[in-house]
Amino acid sequence: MSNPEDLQQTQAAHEIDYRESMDVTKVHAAIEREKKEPWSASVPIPLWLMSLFGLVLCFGSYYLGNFNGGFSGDVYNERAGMGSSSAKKTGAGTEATGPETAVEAGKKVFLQNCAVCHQPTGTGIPGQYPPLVKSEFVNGSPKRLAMILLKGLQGPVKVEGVTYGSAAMPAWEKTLNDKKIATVLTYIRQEWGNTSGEISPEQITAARKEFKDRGDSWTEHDLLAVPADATLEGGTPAAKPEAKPEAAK
Amino acid sequence: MRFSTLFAGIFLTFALAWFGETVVPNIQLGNLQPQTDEDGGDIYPVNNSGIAARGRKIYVAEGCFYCHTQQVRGSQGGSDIDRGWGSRQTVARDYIYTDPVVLGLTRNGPDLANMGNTELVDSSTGKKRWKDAAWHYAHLYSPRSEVEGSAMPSFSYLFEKRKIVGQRSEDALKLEGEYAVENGYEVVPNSDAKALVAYLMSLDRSHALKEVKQEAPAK
Amino acid sequence: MSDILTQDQTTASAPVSDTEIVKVERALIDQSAQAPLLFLYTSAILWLLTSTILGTIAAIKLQQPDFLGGVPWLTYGRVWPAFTNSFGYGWASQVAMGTGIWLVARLAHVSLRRPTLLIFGTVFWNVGVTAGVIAILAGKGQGIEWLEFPGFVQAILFAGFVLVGAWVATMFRLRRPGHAYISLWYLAGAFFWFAWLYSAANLMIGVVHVHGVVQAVVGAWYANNFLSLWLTSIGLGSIYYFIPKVSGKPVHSYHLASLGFWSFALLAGWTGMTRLIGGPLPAWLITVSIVANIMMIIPVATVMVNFVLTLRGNYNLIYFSPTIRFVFFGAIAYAVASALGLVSSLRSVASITQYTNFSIAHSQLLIYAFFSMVMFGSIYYIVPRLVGCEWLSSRLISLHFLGAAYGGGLVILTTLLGGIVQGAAWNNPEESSSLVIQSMAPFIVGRCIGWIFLIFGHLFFALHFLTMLLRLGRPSGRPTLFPTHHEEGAH
Repeated sequence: MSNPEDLQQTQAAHEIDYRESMDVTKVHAAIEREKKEPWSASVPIPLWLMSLFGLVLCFGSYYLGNFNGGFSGDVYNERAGMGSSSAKKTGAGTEATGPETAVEAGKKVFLQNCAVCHQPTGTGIPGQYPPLVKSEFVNGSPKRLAMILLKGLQGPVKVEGVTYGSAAMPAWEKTLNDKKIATVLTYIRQEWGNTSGEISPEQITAARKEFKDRGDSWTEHDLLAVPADATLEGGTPAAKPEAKPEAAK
Repeated sequence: MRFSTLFAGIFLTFALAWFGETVVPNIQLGNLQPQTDEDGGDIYPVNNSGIAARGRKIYVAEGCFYCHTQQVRGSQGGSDIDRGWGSRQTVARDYIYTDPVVLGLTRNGPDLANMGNTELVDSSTGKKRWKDAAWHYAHLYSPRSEVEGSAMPSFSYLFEKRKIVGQRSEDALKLEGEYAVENGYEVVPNSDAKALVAYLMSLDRSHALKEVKQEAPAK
Repeated sequence: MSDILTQDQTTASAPVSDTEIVKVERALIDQSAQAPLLFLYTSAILWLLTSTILGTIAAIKLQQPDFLGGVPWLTYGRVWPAFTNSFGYGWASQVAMGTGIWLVARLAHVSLRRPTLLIFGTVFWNVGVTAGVIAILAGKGQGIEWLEFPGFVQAILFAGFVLVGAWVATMFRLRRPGHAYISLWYLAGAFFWFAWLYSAANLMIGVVHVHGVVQAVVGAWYANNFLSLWLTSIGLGSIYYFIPKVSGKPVHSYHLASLGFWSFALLAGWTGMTRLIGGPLPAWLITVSIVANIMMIIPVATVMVNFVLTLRGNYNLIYFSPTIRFVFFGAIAYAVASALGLVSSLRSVASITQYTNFSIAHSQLLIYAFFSMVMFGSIYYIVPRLVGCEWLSSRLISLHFLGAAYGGGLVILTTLLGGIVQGAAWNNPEESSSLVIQSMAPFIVGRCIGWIFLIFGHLFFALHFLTMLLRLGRPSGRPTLFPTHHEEGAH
């Protein structure tokens, strides 16, 4: 209000208050030149914009109505049920066509369950999973094989002179039924150059009965305790000469 | 506008989208069970076990999914099937045991959903797409030795380069030409590399599922 | 709106001029905002520099994979998420919080109460982001895009955000009653939505442990909403403030703004699943997102009409006002990004662009060309009011703009075109993987050149900011403008 203050006020219009005092009557120049806080005018929405929005809503509704797949969690193709011209290729159905052989069935079981570790080529992974190609266990006693499949295997095992042992083999008796175990064993016994006989589901049933009280998986020691020519009851007559009708201990 | 209107609107619009986009899909897809056939067998999918499970953790830790996807589009969505990357579209049931779900977002490299499948054929070469463990090890250690011009980083720290003591190790990589290791040395994968390769070779999502059609590549 | 003017118009004989009260109020607000805001901006800019370096390393590694090779910490699969997360959480989120706080304070006409809440929040946030980025580089990333930080880091970040959010809520309660200006709607929305978004995503994935593809669904929902309901919202609120503020003209239409906001709030949350077109999701989920994307024309068009027509008659501001140049660039980039998003969400286009660098370019358009440029503009406006001096050199601002606009533009353009080429190549069954990868090479080289521009642009910006922090700016009443012509009272 007094003269020096007035002078300071006008100076303040172009200077900055470096003292940063709490005396806020000396506002700094940036605030001084600011325009007022934003406000809005009241122009109505133009007609052309409204028409555009109407078009967008129409197209959106059409798209939603056409491609919603019934809002079902099972429909993955938005064009499902839209007429044969839009569905591109129809591949093989999910059901098996015609009866399949034990080997075909066994191959399916193998690829779904065993190939993860033993590999689709049956070669296993060096140091981790033993190979099934030319394996003495695969080509040898059906009883040993059934033991491994039913109860699993733990600890190191020597196959073809090489020791494997870091991963355990799980038991499959609960996941696979007798038919599946039989077919997969049949498959591995005559694939990749192996030439051993097939194994029947009855043999697996017999093995399951024999070992039903066993809880733990086997070790290599347990397997080798079973004679190399031991067989299982229920073997088919067309099996190789080692399969004797009587079950060995 | 009044603040109460504003807040109510902000709350409701978000709640609606959150419900519709996360809760409803969780109800539809959150409790999917593996598919089985009539006898209760033929279970698909099964969880990775053993070192393949550990391999998936390494896949996540190394960020492989930033360049590789693991999802196959149906023929209505792209040419994935024509390329031989799968025999059908991958669906939600394929991933119930994949945690975290490494679908991937960018394809700087090929899709890996069916890397362990032996039947699929790579359309550009006409050969089977499947690669054995030795190829995977060589590719991880020195990608450009297997894929020309590859932009993949070299994961040499998953391997150990050491002097040959006595006989060459069975696991040693077989690298040739300009990528060969110098005389007297060998490159051996460590346990992380083995787990990762076991995981990669276990990837197979071609098992038939009722909710999606099998498809054959266009010829 | 500034109600103080309307109130006092009735008392014409008031001795102190109305505008003086307003100026004092603004000065008080700015002074109270000094410490927390400068802290937020400084940490944000440090993260900007860090993430620019990480981004450059990632870009170079795509072309020269053996660059810094053999180091597990710097493998591409770790550097890339470290880059995106440090950019999104370190730079973008913090500058969003900073500008958002200042705007809320100014528009609520209340000076900052409890700045300690904000300071603590910022500390938590920075600790969290640092720990998170280190964890990602060490290989502990969680595997979901934008949510790679380990669980404990997410908790720290959330605690920090709650502090900031609590502060924003306090300010809203204390604000002068009456109509809330347009920007306040977007800001209120952004802070509220991010709190819910972040906690819901982390709870669903980390605590409830959703399985399988539901993780991808929640992840896509989060990633999309992080960009749209959090960052875009703050960006739009800022543009709604700065264009009318600097030009001195009102926003073109309140009704358009209202329609724009509500359609945005309604639709933007649904657009996330277009990231997963063709993926293992039921058709309805993806269709819903595509429809939401199509209908996003409504909010984007209304907002763009408002922006462009508000500035009508003052387009020359683009030439000499740094704030308007950056902010309007961002506004146009928003339109471009939305158009690209719309086009790429159609399934026929997506069959080419999905799973390619196109999506990365689209995200970068949103987070850099739109959001970061708007934030640069807001920093150029706000910081002189915090430190009491003007920017030192318009040439430095100019160099920053060139680096950011051309560098960012080059990165985005090469990534975009490269993505289209990549997608077309993958869709060609005759082309081997090797050839597809090699066809990308020239685009990635262009991308690296763009990143060099970005490094320089950001460096100039950071140095310039440092001078302001040290109060070494120009002590003058005239603002620092680009040297074409000077107009009195432009700012």
